[in-house]
Amino acid sequence: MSVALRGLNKKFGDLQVLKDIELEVSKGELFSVVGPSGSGKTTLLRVVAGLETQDGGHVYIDGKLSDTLTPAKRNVGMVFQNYALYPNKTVAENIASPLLAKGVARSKALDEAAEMAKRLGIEMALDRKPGEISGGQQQRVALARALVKKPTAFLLDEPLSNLDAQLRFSARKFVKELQRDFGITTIYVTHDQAEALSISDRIAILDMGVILQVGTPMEIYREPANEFVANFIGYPPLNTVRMGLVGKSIQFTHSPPPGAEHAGIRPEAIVLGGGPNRAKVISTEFSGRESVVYLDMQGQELRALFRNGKVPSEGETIDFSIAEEGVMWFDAKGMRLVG
Amino acid sequence: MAERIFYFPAFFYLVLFAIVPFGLSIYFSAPSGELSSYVTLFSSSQTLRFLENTFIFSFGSAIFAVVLGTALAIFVDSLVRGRRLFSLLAYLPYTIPFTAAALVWITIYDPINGPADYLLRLLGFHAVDWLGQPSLVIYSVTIVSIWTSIPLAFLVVLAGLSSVPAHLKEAAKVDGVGVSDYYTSIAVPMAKSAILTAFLLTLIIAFGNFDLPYILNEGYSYAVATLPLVVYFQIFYANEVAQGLASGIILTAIVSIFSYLLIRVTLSQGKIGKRGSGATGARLSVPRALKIAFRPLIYVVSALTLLFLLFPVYWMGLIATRPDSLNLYNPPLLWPKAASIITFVATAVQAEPYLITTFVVSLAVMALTLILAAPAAFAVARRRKRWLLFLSIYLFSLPSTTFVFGAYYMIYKVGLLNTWIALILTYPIFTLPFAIWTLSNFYNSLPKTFEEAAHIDGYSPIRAFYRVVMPLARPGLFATALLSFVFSWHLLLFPLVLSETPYQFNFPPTGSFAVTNFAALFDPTSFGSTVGANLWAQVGSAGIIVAVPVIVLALAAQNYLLKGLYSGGTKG
Repeated sequence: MSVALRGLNKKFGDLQVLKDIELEVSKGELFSVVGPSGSGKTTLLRVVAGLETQDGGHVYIDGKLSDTLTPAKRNVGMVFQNYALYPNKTVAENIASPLLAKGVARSKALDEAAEMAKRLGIEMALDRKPGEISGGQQQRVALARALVKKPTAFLLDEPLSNLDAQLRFSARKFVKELQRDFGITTIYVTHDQAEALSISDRIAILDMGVILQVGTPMEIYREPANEFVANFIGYPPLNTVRMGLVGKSIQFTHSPPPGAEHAGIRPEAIVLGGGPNRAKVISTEFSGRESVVYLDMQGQELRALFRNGKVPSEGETIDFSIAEEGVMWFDAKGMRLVG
Repeated sequence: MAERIFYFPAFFYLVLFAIVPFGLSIYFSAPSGELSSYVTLFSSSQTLRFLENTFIFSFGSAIFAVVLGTALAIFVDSLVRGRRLFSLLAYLPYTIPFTAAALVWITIYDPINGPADYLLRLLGFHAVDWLGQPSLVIYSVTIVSIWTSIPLAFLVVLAGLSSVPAHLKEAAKVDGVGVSDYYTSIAVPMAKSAILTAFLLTLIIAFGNFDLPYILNEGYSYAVATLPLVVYFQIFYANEVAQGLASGIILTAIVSIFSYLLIRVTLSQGKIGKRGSGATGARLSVPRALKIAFRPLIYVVSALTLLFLLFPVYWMGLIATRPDSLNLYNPPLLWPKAASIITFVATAVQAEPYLITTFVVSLAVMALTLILAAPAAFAVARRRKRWLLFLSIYLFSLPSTTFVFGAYYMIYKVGLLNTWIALILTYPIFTLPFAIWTLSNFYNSLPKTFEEAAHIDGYSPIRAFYRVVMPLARPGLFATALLSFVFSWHLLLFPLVLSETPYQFNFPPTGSFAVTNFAALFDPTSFGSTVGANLWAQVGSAGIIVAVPVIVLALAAQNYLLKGLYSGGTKG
């Protein structure tokens, strides 16, 4: 067990930002915490780092109770959202900073920093100031600074959100490879569910300070615990259908389990071109490999993914069927019904 | 535990050198519990006169400074180009010590050859004896105080106007809101608390202003004295210590009220900053006529204000560098005709020991202030030691007369009168509270993540402060250091009381008269009733010599200085 949180609670004034958090992150695991903004995910990370003190509960790092340890004593590496690189120091000095703080001799620290920079492919930037290098390089400097001290836990707070879309794609692969390479226990905080799905060993979904579900990306996507998770994970978002329409306006291939109040349909489960249902195309969104088609079924809007052939045009009437594996059922409380 | 190290030294200093002297003032104002000094004070008809003078002087200074400063700030804020130049021109008088300013104004007010009477005659009025006619002196002195107060009011209000978010300004432009509407209904209401701050700051400084009345008050006449002057004369001339201290306590009590208001305003500004909003929604209802006249009015008032601010500076340079015979023209000669720097050089040579003292003392005070204030202000900004901020603002507001007797008493007891050390130890009474205030504002504007990164890197709080925060805070530290230097350079009351002779290199070295003491040698009392035009070159030269090092410094580092002044007044 590398990082464990037991019954963690945290309030800012009257606002409960973390509520009875229980988490166990295994050694060498890449663990993501995902949630909308304001869900408490950054606070959770800061409590692990020791930058915030919890009101109740315990933080264990490497099996050691760390509640009263200062950030300096926890031996964690952290990448901040804006990187927090010291603007007045060179890249080499930035990377060497944790070693210098430990009292490592300056020449040795700079050597180690140079080696780390090489491993991350930024050795050419060593003598420059953070303001003089690109955003992608800044991000690698931040990663290098966090890793150079060989931390017990590696904490990343939205590390890709400051990169532009193209770079973000390659950076997330880089982070994942780096993490594998170092075999380091990692907590990765992001609001981007696609990022979390693609990168993580396991994911925790956080909303309003409460953990709703913990599981592998596959589990989270296929078997969401509740409607919130189902809605939050996946793009385009899940279609939610009132029970009043089920079996009447919209035909499913199977019948709903007892107690179902809502049906959730993944957009890719709506198979266009033939089937028992008929709807009007309101609009389409082209996005390269696939298109999102918006359908209207007597006031109920549905989003469908369309992959092959000619994209239906607006105003056209189209037939479709619903694939069973993309449908889930929720009870009155929004919990998913199994079976 | 560790965090106490941040603010304990500064707190210890403030207790020892500000709070203890304050306490001594209270104690000796009623020695052995006897309140006779207060009874005398409240039964004396003179007291009312002193209060009246003090209020005319203080409120006159603050009201006019804020009105004219605001007009000037609106003018400069509306400029597309030249903001820097006009800011620089407008804050020039701020760099000139009160003592030097007073000297220049003595020549301007000269009843025979002075340009002030010339202006009156031009406008069709009778000439007056500005500094000689008892019923008039307090107003004449107040005009000089307005002149010295406008720059600060201007800077604080300009900072307030500049803090209106750019998108609001752009939205107003796109919506076709006119200049007058933009200022009357958007910018000025949003800068309301800056304007209030400017008013309270100039008011508080005017309440404590000892220098101007001291230099301009011919023959120490009680009829025109303000309270700070009364305190000084009663304690150090008339030997009525308890009486003088009682007057000082009354002054302190009055200032305390306005200091409390200043703290309230500062506090509410902090809250507004946190909410991240600004627009109050309050609209000034403006008559149509004023709307049309708005722009011309602002331009005319600003032009006159700038003329008012800059003429004395020009005049000082003029009279210092021309033969005294050119001063005898009537109407006065306002343009350079012939130059002579003999007097200037002679005066500069004379000033040497004073300059050395002030330079050394100001440097040492700057260092001491920074060493104490840098960590203390950090504790205020990051560890929520707000009480230290309030204490600092309060002590900064109090007039120097609150502390002067106690400081004198303590320095006398340890046998340090007339030494550099006496000045170095006591000047931070004024510079330290100001530095804590300014720097804490600066730290507040510094992102917290750098410190957090340093903590994660493994630095202890103290090492994170010295290794990471201090280097990042360099601009703020530099501005604060400069302002401390300027403050020290300007002080008059303390060297007047604590020093006896100019610096002399004996062994051990003795003497600690400051440049302000040097300037005071040229006040009218030293010359008899007025300074004849035949001495103007000396007076102007003394003014320049006292002012020029600070002016040069201020020009060289204007960006830092302006920034420091901004953050001192508001959360700009």
